[in-house]
Amino acid sequence: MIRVENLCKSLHGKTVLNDISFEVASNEFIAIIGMSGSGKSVLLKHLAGLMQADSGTIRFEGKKLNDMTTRELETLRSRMGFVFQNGALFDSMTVFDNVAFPLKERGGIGRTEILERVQGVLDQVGLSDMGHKYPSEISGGMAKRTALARALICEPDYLLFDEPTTGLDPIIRKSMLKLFKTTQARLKSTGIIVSHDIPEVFDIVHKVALLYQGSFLVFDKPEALLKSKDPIVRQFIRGDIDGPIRYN
Amino acid sequence: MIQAFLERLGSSGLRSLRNLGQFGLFFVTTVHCSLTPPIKFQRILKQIWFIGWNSLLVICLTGLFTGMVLALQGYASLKRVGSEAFLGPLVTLSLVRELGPVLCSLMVAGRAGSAITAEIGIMRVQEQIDALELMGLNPFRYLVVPNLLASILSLPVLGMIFNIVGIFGGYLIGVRLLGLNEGTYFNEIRNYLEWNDILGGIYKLVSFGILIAWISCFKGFHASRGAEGVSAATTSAVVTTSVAILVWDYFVTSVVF
Ligand SMILES: Nc1ncnc2c1ncn2[C@@H]1O[C@H](COP(=O)(O)OP(=O)(O)O)[C@@H](O)[C@H]1O
Ligand SMILES: [Mg+2]
Repeated sequence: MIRVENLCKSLHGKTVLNDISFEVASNEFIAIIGMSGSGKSVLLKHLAGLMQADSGTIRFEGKKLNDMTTRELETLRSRMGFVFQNGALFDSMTVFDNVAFPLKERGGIGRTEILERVQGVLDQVGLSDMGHKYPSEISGGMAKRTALARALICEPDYLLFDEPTTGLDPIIRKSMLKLFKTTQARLKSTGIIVSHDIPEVFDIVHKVALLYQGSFLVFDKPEALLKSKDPIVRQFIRGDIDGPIRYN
Repeated sequence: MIQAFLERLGSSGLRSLRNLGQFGLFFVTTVHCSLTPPIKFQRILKQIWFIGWNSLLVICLTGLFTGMVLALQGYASLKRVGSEAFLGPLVTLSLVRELGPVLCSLMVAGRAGSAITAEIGIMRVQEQIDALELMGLNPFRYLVVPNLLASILSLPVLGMIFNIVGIFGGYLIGVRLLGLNEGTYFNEIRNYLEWNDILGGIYKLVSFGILIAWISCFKGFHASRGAEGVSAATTSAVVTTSVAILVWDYFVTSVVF
């Protein structure tokens, strides 16, 4: 269970997160949508402890993130599968080694088992014969899927995915979203996915949050968002150019 | 206006103080991680290869020419006072006590230190370091400790090689070119070189090794803003390391010798 209370964060004098509070129950899968630049990545980084809030608290299973010792934080993080928006692959390692890395570092797992598990995950994300390539030699979409494979290899209890399907073609995107759903259900993980794949992502999550001007404008079941009369929600979901949201 | 000036002065003063604090804390963390398991031996070996082995050629070349030019200049000077026989000790002591450690470290800082900063800096701006942390792994253990230990182990060896090649360079010029007696050259070295000279040189090399790894890793770790940030960090690392080596060299020399 993840619980966020009154989280605030300003970056360079600009308020990015403005008093956000929400809760994700265990075994619940939610999506965060919102305009680019609205602070979705910043919010996920706070959850992972990569950024420090100005005020407010984040709790995992009741325990405050800020109160954790280094050991506890390391343990928590090793139970997290985090996908960075840009992939953040180790560019000096092959695809295979990137995915195997967390397993190897964990220790206590035999060579053959590592080989089998990595190959299994690579198969799932459709990169069966890309293991020997380096990140610079594969396409952006493949890098995204490698990052996914790396996040899934340790069967995490928390899934934090920052736009994991952006830049994938429609077929792979659908199969990836399906993979998230089955993985989340199988591992009974608590999941947060940042995504712009409306409406596909609505089919795989329990709830959707719309991040707008620093806090959640709505946080509700997908059907409720689809039926919403709120002009901002409607504009965002339908992708209209005219409406209350304006760039520039 | 005066108030604005004072405020600016104060805030930049605070910033420098905070940077200095970060810099010190960085070292303390690194030392702590170096002394507690797990130690990543494979990464250390890889960095020894990178810092030590890959620097060998450039160290031999610079060592050779430093010894040669020392012999040329030394011979000319000694000849004026009629003591060419002391060319060997002159070359050797200059190298062992001073030029070997300093020049060798400056070469390593330029060659390996800059590369370390660039590599770590790129990992920082591409969030690879964050990714490491999110796997529950300590980036200090992976990136900083191996560089520090490899640097501490490699520098004394490189420095000794620099000295030996330099002495050989002095021999080439002094004996082969200028016609000094071979026995004189080496015997006088044996007469005048003391253990303390060598130990002092090693002490310098170890501390320069620490400086190179510490500054290079720190600058990379705190790189920001994409390619430009990494290139700025790299330049700053080389400049800072070189200045630090020369300043520290003065203090060590005044205390140790
Ligand atoms: N490391 C950072 N330093 C300063 N500002 C940042 C940083 N990361 C993000 N921001 C700012 O925070 C805002 C939200 O960014 P982000 O969370 O990346 O948006 P998105 O919702 O598209 O993921 C943006 O205005 C961005 O400029
Ligand atoms: Mg983002």
